[in-house]
Amino acid sequence: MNAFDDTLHRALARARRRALPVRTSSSLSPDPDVTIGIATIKIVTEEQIQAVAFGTLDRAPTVIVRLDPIGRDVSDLLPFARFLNATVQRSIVADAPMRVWLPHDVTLEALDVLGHRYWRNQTASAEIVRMGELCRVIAHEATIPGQQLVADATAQLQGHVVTGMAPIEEGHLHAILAWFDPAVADPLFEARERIRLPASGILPNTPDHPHDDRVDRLRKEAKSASGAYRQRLEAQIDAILRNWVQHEWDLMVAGRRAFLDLGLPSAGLDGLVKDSTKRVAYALTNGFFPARQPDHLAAQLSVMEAGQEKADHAALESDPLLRAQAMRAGAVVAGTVSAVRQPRPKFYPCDIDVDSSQSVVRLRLDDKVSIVGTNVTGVVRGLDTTPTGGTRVSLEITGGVRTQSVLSVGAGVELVRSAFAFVNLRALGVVREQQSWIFYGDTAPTIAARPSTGQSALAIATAARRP
Amino acid sequence: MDESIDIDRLRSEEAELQRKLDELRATRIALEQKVKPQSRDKARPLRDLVLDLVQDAGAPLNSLLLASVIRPLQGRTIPATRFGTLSNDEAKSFDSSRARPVYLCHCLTHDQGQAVKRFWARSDWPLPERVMGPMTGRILFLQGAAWTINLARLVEAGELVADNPEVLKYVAADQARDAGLSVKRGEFPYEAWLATIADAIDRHIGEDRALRETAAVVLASRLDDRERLFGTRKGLVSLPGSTPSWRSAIE
Amino acid sequence: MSVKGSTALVRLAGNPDCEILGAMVLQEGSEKRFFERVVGEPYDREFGERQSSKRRGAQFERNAYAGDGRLLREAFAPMLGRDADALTVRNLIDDYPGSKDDARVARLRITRGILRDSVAGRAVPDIIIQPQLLLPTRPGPKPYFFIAPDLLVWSPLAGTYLPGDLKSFIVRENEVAASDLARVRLQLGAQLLALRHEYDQIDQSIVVPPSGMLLFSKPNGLAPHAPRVEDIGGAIEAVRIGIAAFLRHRQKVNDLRAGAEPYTVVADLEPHFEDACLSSCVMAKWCRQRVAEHVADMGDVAGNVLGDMTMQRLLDLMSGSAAPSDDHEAIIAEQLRALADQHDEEQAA
Repeated sequence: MNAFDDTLHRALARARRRALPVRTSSSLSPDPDVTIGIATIKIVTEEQIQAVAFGTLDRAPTVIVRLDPIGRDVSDLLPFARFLNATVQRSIVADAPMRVWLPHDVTLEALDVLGHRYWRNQTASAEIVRMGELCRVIAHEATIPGQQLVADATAQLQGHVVTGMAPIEEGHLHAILAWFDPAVADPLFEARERIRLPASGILPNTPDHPHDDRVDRLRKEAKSASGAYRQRLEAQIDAILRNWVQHEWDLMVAGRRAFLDLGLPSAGLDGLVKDSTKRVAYALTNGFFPARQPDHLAAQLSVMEAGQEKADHAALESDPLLRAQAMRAGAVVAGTVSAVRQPRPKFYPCDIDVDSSQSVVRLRLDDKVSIVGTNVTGVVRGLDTTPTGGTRVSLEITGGVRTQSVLSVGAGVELVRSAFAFVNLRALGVVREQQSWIFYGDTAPTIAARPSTGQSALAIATAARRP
Repeated sequence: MDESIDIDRLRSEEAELQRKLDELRATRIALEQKVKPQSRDKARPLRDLVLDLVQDAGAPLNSLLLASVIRPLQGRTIPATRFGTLSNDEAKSFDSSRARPVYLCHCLTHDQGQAVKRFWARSDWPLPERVMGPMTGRILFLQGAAWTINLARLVEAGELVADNPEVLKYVAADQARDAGLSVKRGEFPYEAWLATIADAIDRHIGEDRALRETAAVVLASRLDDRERLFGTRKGLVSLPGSTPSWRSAIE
Repeated sequence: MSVKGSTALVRLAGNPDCEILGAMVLQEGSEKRFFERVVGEPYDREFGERQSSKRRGAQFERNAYAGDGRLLREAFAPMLGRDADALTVRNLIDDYPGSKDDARVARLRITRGILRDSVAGRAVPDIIIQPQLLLPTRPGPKPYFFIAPDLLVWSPLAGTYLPGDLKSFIVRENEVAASDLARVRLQLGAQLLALRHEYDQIDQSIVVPPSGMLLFSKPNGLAPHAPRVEDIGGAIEAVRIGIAAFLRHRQKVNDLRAGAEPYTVVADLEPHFEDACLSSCVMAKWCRQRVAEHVADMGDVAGNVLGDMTMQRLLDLMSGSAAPSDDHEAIIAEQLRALADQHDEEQAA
């Protein structure tokens, strides 16, 4: 959405005192059978988890409070490790996708750091090492656009609604939830009050809730205490951490509920679900291997780009509201079929012209496009202005040539660029074999000058173009 | 000719007497600690304690190291600020009319003769032993680490009494880790650590000593008695803003 | 957050148009105290560094400086093309410990001596720990800022020292979040500017390249990552702009206060509230009240798009109870009404 649209939506949300959906489709597929939630409280800058709440979303979570999170002994995390592993096993055995709900990206980071610390740790037990690996798999998959494994409650809400607050304030899960609660009369005031206490997986440390410094002090005292006194101190630490990790869990559950209650249909996500499930299943079964070699890094970037393209395309295909916004930017072209050149009906070759009133069109020659809501695909072969100042797009049809309802003069169509989601693993494999200097070398090879062939550079380029 | 032989003879007699004095003092300290480790030393003034420890180490020691060793060795916690007041007290004591046989003093930078306030030495040491050249910081750290590790070794061997031997072991292990040695939990290979540190010292001590001796000659001629112990008086520092028309050249 | 030293300059660079920030930098005492004096209420949000953060920061530094800066020597040796064992280190805290002004001045004197030695070709340490620099502004209240990088590292390539900073927050794969990196780059910018002033006093022909170094902490233990060399040309410029802005604000505050304390004239100063203030400044809530009834209350983007319009005007345009005064307002009114209708339809459906 552009800045103007965003601002108007925000103004309306403020006037209505409710969160306003800005999409008519969901970017998240429905929760699969194997769905869990994780919430954490970390020690800031140490990036150590000091409490974790986990479990399925239909019941109260299991809570682990760590009395000595910075110490070497991580056996207190074993119940979490076992739970994570059991969940993954369920998913593998059923050959089914998995989903992990988190309150926000701070939790994801905490799991990623946990993963980094333990997945190759030689002094930790096998279960902890496996937990580390699983955390790395989860955190890595979350970086792929369009992935369906990790559901970040805050990000989901931010991506699908707008409130009357400033965007920066919408990063606070408790604040954004104020705009979903009909019992809150003045969500702007309420949200800004809620922002005073963090909803980012850390203990508050305000003058009226100085819990972080308090737990720090209690831990220090407990170290040199013993017996019943030590137990009392530990009980106090436990109570504080338990309370606040439960709060994080509750926020996550409420965030998920608010998102699901938007009732946004999730159409066109099958491809993304399939890709995500396949990637995750592979990593869970075969292990996690971060890309280090140039060709693997290139492949990883391609996977990410492909994911982005597919996610964008799926969103446009299934969401008229997004399409309307994209139209204003020229990414979607709405028009009418003004000419059809098809010597044999229902057969190739077939070319059509689409006339649109849009003067701003982001399509280029040779772009592959699809017609929304149909199986028709084509390639842009011409772009001209119409007499009325609009755009005429000429397409060579490459798919769905039998769909007469669309390939007839007068049909209303919407054109969107097809997702370019091809990861050229074969070519990258060749690169690795050849140890191509572009990927592996530090300097370009010297090329001896050769006499000119007499052709112009433009001619060479035109000849090199694929038909 | 005769005079120079006399001077040499006197020097070696002096060194021999100093060595005997050191031995006597070490024996006395060890016996005192064995007899009453708690009550005696808690009452001892910090300056006397530091003089003895520095003597025992045979090299200047950093106040942070001193504090971390005194705690498990003597059961005393010395806050960092205490060393600051110690420095001022010692200088004041020097300025007063009552002379003392030995003063606590600081190391001096080899070029400017400025005090390096975190390093403590004795006034009865030759000046080269109190000068710091570019590599002296390294050597003093290594010597301090070796001294600490040796203390822990002696305590474990029962030759020395410490208030908290367990903590002293870990202080020694920390020094070994800081020196880049391999430190495994629960293992304390004191001899191996000491041998590696000795090698590290050997790599630089020759050049460092030569530099310090040359510098000491120059400093001895430039500095008065007080400055030789507590460093040159502070120079002036220009802070801008004192005149309204001042402008920085690179504006 | 502090308003002292390089942090003050970083904040001025980040929001040079804010006169309130200028007054806060001029005022003696902490930021929290400034809030309490201006607003007349205790500050009810989190303020200052958490104990666990302070401890981690101190531990990271302690580890880096221990053993005659062993971890630092090992981190910089590859970059300097020398053996770690051969590098020399000078820790100015050993020379003159403490954080009060007398200690800063003493370390400034020593740092200046080392810089002069380096220019004269005398032997100087490869790494200086806790040097002290001074960045002059202009004569007047607060005519200079004390700037203390964690390190100065001799660069054989540059022929000068370059500033370096230790950052104890954990970084995976030596990749840092963009917002964190922006902030620490500005810090390096302030440090480099101060270093340039110091060198300039010795020899005006010396050019210090716009580079600084950062050492971040690894997730495991407290060892540092390999040093990152940052190009800080932009940051230096931003700090210069911040200083120029500070001098303007200082002039205005001085003209208004007539000898009284800076905080007393805050009501006559212009804030420059931005979204970023919410996460970095104690005065955010107070400054925001000045835009409370305006569209800027919905964020920087809204403020840029709709200008100085009040929320009430916007809502009146939407409901039709106010007529648009120009084409811009006409478009806004039309679009808002269409949006409202669309959502009402969807709600009904």
